[in-house]
Amino acid sequence: MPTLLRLEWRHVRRDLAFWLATLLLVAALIYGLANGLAWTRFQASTIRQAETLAAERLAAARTDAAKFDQAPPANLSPNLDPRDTRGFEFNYLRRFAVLPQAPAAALAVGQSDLLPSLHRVTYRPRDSFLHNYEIENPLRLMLGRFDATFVALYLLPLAVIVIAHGLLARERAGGTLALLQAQPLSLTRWLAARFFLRGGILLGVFAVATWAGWLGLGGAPSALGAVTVWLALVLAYGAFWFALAWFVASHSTSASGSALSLAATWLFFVILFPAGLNLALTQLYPPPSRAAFQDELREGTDDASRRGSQLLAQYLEDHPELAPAGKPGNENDFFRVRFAVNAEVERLAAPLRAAFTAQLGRQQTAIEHLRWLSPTLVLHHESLVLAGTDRARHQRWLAAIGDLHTRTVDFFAPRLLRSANFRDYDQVPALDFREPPPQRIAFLAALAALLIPASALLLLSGRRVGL
Amino acid sequence: MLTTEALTKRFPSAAALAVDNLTLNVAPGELFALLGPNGAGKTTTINCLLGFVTPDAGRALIDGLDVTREPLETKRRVAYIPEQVNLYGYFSGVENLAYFSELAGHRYPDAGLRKFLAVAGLEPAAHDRRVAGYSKGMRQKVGIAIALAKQAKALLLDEPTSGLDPSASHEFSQLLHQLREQGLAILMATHDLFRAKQDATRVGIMRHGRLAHILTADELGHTDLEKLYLETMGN
Repeated sequence: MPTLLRLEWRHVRRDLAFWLATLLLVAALIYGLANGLAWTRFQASTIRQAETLAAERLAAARTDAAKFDQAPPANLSPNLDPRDTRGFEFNYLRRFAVLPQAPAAALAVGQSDLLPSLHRVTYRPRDSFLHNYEIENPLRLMLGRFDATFVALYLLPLAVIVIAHGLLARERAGGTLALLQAQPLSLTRWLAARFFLRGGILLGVFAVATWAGWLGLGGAPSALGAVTVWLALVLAYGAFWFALAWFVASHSTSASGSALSLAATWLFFVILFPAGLNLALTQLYPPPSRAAFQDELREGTDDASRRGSQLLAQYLEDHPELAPAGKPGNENDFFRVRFAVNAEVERLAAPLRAAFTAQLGRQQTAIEHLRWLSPTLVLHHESLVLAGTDRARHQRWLAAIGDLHTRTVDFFAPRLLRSANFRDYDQVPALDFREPPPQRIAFLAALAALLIPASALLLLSGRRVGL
Repeated sequence: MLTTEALTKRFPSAAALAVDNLTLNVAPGELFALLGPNGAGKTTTINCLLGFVTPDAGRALIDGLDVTREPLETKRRVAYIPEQVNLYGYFSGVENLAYFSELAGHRYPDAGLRKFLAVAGLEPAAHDRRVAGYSKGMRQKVGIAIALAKQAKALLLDEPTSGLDPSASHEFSQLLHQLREQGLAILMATHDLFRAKQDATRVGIMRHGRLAHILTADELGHTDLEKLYLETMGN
């Protein structure tokens, strides 16, 4: 084999299409990495600004409270007074629930540019701050952002097709195959050397460019482990495409036929299957209409607002501990009514939201199972998981926000309704979002899902090479 | 050295047998010329000896080894020059020769490679030029050099002088004579009756996959080969 590799190098050196494809792929990869890192920097800066604002306003609440204690201002509205729950919540509390960036987030932006990664959580109904109307850019949804994962998913297979589609057929068409077959060598080993050398160089250059690009463009060195895991999957994905090219090459009589078969396979795995799966799941598990949900919620809110006093009475009957104790009449009526209305809106929204979540969950479960049918989906899914931009993580974060909202309502309800003197700045609930431990088994399963079909294709290809 | 034993081959798309129960033997130092029209089975016979085509019945043997059972060993013992020698256009003549020689297990110094090319009749000025600019005759000469460099015991030639000018054809004949003198067994499929009569120690005329006539060197001397050929085809 070393002799065959050495001899093959003489061909590779002069293979312009190979070097051009490799160069373009590396350029696209570097651009993808730069694009991903630029996005994550922008996202990190937004998060930093939000966190700075939250800290500044909290500090201001303490400072102003101390100042007002010493010299109470005249005619200060309770809505502006940090010592009043209403004032603190309305004028000072700027608390954001942030979805933390994973170290390797820049590898796969996914839909993190469409789905918010921070929400300002208040005691008001969730739909007043969870602005998730599924406003999606269809083109971007179809293609994804131009990041490193996009390059790996879409362009790497194309580079493999360009490089490998004619490795056998060109010999046949050029007439050199007969002369080769007359030599005392295994044509399978000779073809293996062709594929291994080109595959080794292309994937090796891709790996080096990924590491160098990551570090050179300012990616976190601490994320190199995750980048390497991603690379392992990408290399396995590349190996799958090389094995497929080999299989097709050994069954095709012409380079154009081989290229056409590979292009059709690329179209199926990379475009048609994911799109078809998406369509099938939307048909099988159609999510309830967002517009109908909003309409129903709006009507419910209007109705609840009209029945404010009645709802308040009912609310206080359900929460007797929150009934005003010795407070001046009607001082808190607005807030009390708002609380009762909010609770009613939440009650109305809960089953609608649950229906959404359930359908999304069913879609997610179906994808979890069906993604194994396409190497592209396997790599895409694992890339998103490694980058922390997968849908499941986002859903876990939304669930944590739901929990935070419940605790926020529980925290503010007694304080707002009773207009207690507010000093509990350090007790305001915070987001409790915990990352699950890394799924090593899932990674190994994904690796196996890419390497097993690659090995099977190699075995099948080796049996059929010749004139 | 080159032997077929009741060799039979039928291609799926053809009604008739391509090679029909063919038995022949080419001894070391012998040049056996296979004559016959297109489709007579000459190339199929050579392809069976090279292992490109698996016979339906019978055996093809090189140096006593069955081609089907020991493909690598038999290929080590035989060199092949097709009608059209196709090489890598982006390699020079020397580079093509080095490449195919190394594939065959022989690594020569640069001077050695150039010597093979010179023996094959390729002008030194052409040695380092890209083969893409070679004429058919020049490529054929590189093909001959590849065969020489392989140091094989037997040589299979499939219409090797087709398209060569008379001078190149003559040089090729001389080369074949030298190789025969060195003890190589040569089987040559050709349409060139003149060259067959000049070079061959035996001539076989094939028709419908069978050897209709075999003429020895003595018989060739006093036979009108063209007449015999035409009579055979007429029958």
